Amino acid sequence: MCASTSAKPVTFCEKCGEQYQGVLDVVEEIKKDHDCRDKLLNSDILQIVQKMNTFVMDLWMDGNCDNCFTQNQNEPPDVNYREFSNDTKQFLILFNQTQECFKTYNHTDTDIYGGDIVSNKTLCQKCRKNYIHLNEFYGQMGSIGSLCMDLVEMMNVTRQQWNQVHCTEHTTNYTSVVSISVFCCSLPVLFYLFAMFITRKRVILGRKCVFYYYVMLYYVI
Amino acid sequence: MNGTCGWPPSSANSASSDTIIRQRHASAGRNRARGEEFEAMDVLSDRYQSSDYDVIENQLHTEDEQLLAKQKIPKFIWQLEMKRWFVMLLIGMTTAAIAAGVDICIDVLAGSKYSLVASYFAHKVDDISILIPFFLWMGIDVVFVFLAAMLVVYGEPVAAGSGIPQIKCYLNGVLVPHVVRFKTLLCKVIGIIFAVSGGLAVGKEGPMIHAGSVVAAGVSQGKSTTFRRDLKIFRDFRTDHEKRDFVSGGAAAGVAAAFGAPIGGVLFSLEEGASFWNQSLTWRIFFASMTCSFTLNVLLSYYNGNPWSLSSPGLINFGEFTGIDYHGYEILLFLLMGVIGVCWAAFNAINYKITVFRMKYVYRGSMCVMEVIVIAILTVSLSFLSIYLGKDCQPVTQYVENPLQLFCGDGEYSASASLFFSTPEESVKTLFHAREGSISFLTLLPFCVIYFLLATLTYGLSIPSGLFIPCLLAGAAWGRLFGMFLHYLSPTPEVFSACGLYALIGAAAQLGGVIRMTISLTVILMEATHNITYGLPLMLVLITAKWVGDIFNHGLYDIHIELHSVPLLHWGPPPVSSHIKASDVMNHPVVTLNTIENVGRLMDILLKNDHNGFPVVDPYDETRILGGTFRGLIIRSQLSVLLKNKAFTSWPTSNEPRKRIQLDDFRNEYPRFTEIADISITDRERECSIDLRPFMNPSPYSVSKEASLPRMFRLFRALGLRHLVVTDGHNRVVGIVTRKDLARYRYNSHRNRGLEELPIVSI
Repeated sequence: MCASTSAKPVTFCEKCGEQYQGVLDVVEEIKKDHDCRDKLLNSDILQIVQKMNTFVMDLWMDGNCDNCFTQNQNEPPDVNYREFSNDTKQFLILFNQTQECFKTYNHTDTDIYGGDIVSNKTLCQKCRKNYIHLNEFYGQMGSIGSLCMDLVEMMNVTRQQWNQVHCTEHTTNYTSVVSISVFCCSLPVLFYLFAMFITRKRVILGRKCVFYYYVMLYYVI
Repeated sequence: MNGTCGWPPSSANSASSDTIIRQRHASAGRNRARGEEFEAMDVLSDRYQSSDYDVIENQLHTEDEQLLAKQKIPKFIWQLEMKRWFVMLLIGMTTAAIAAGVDICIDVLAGSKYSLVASYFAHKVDDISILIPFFLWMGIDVVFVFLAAMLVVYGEPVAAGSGIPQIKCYLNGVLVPHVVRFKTLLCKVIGIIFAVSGGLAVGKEGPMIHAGSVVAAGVSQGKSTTFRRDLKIFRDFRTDHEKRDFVSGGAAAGVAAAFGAPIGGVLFSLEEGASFWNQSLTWRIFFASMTCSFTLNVLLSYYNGNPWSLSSPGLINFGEFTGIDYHGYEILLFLLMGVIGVCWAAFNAINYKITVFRMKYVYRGSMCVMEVIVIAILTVSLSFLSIYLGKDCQPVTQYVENPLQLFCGDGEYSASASLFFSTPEESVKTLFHAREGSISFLTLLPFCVIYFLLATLTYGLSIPSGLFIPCLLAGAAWGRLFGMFLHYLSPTPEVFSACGLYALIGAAAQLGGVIRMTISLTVILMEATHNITYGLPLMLVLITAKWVGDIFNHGLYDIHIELHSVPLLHWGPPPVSSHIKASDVMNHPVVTLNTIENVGRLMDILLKNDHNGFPVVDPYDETRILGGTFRGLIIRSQLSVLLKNKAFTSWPTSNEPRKRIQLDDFRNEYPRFTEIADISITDRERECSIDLRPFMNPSPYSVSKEASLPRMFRLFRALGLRHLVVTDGHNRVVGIVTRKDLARYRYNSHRNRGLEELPIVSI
């Protein structure tokens, strides 16, 4: 089916829009006709039709696929009207630019969408701008939970590739940072030592009288 | 005002301690040779007074009741019951409002702190500039924690700690000074907001229970001594007995607010106040806790933006454990986790040693505040160090709040940051619900060890601090490690349950091993996880942890109560103690009053000693052979009311007005009665006499001097007495038994393994 061929990398929303629409239309038709509905949807235990319908709907909902496309309020969505929203188009442009850049400067000349990149400095320099633009645009598109899954997948792949190149190298200064932290950690020890040796000890002193069980005790500093 | 931290409260008897200190300075060096040093756990303090649940059925009380009998009894009784239910409703709703306020404030403060520091971490990561967010984080934490410490040390020292030991003592019948005052509530609530936002290893559950109790004590009396307002309602509830019933309801409401566990709250009150129970009280307390949980749910649903969605019945939300079931054979593994309760006993032992150290060396106000700041710095430094050195990077999903990228690639976050850089409740939820393999072994092991040590170090500081969440978190870390270890060993993934379930069992084991509460904790956890099928493993684990831990030491709350030398009466008398008779236990000689007592002598007696109960006897004749028959018992508070209102029977001249004392005069003075020293009596009035017979309790409980300790203990505990008079064969008073005298005898199963007698001290 369409879903299984566009499973990884995820291009479900993009490629299977037609099929999804087709399923929607057919189910609408079935539901309108009572006779048809009873025969097809309720007549057997396995209920393959019902389950397939649920499966398709769930996939579409979980992938947030509606977000990729423009929302058409006036008319029911139809395959002819289904086009990408402006955000999606912009994202695709940036994404393709970045992938082109990667391809150009990658020394091995294979199709790299979803493949490995060899780490090299020129790629870092030349493609950094593209990558940063893509990243920023992605960041302001919205929270991950509401984004269309195709776009999320594309972004994840790009990020994984970028991570492999190790372009964002952070410098770490272990000695100073760790030594300062360890000093801060040792403050309690110093404090307790100070408390033990400098402040006067507060004790309960006393003497047990032989005949009475009351003892003369008191807190002494 | 000179601040001190923790108990003992230094407000009373400050004059005597001054003299003691002067003595010490005068004879410096000699005391050591004369005296021996005592441990705080081996003595009892005489500072603590008892509540009195016995009804004083004197003549006034009888007249009052007969007056009511002439009016319509059923209407009065019905009105009283309705008032009781209404007060419980008020208690539930007020506690819920406070809990919602605390939760919202912590959410706002902690949320803004973490997002601010996270925004700095996003940019300044390279080289030394990572120290900028580190010091910013530390600075914010220090400021918050400093505020919390100042509130406790210089505001109200009783507000320190969890509040549960103090409430346990209160429900047992010990009047811990200042424990249910409005100032305590204020310091506690504001303090816990700052302490949790300050990133310390504390929770907000214990303070909720304390807050609920204070609310109950305040609302049920209908008057406030702090604000000097008397609403003149709820006058019937101004006795120790009624107040205590409402405080039980308040404590249950607090538990319901903290965990979303109304039934757990009822059982918590039951466990603490078992001997004063009756069915109608159970029903009312359940009503209070359900009201509290429901109101909190509504308030939080408004805050979360889904009005009336009713999905957060308590402050703690463990998340949904749907679909995670355990296999039958895993119960053995759960039992094993409970048996490794030796670690939990170590928690108590370490905290005990630290608390003893604190009592000896860290007692000045400034030192206490410094200590809190230093511990906050330690917490931040250890967290930062772990995050900095951790290399565990996980891909970001939508379920992660405030992800810190740090040295990870884009689209990833640091897993150790998800544990260290969030409030403890969030970390607990992460440990319960994270996918398999999303937290690595190398992240979790240091977290477990570090948090265990931080939690044991933090409890006992001079800030309001709950113990539930730190124990749950440390246990969840340990449990998850155990689960990951099992998964590593197992051949197929299906043999053992999800790691999150092991985290839950580990959390329960840790909590049970530290606190050693049984049924109430099981029900609380069951209700908090919304799943009854977990009830059996939770119960087994808690029982095992308790039994194993009890071999080594007591629960942490009990240890703290013992360290503060509180004369707590346990559930039953110490075993094998029938050979101890009343004549050994009692206090003698007793100060008695005559039935018609001279005012001057009365004043002198009251000023000279600080006893609270005085047996009233027939006057002795000159030879002291006849007379002395025991007639009744009168309390100091009653005497202060009588003296203040000058209810004398004979006056110097016949022109003096005779004031008739009513029962309301006693009720209006409750709970803080005038000190005898503040009552002025002229010399002429000293020659008057006062008849005590209409006001005394004409038939108080008494025992013969041959009564055994268990018998006296059970009588005392079951009836909630404050004084028990000991008489000889001729009905003459030979001694008096108070709570301290009974609490002296303790069965120590850990150190001496025997019945021991504790000395009573004035500390």
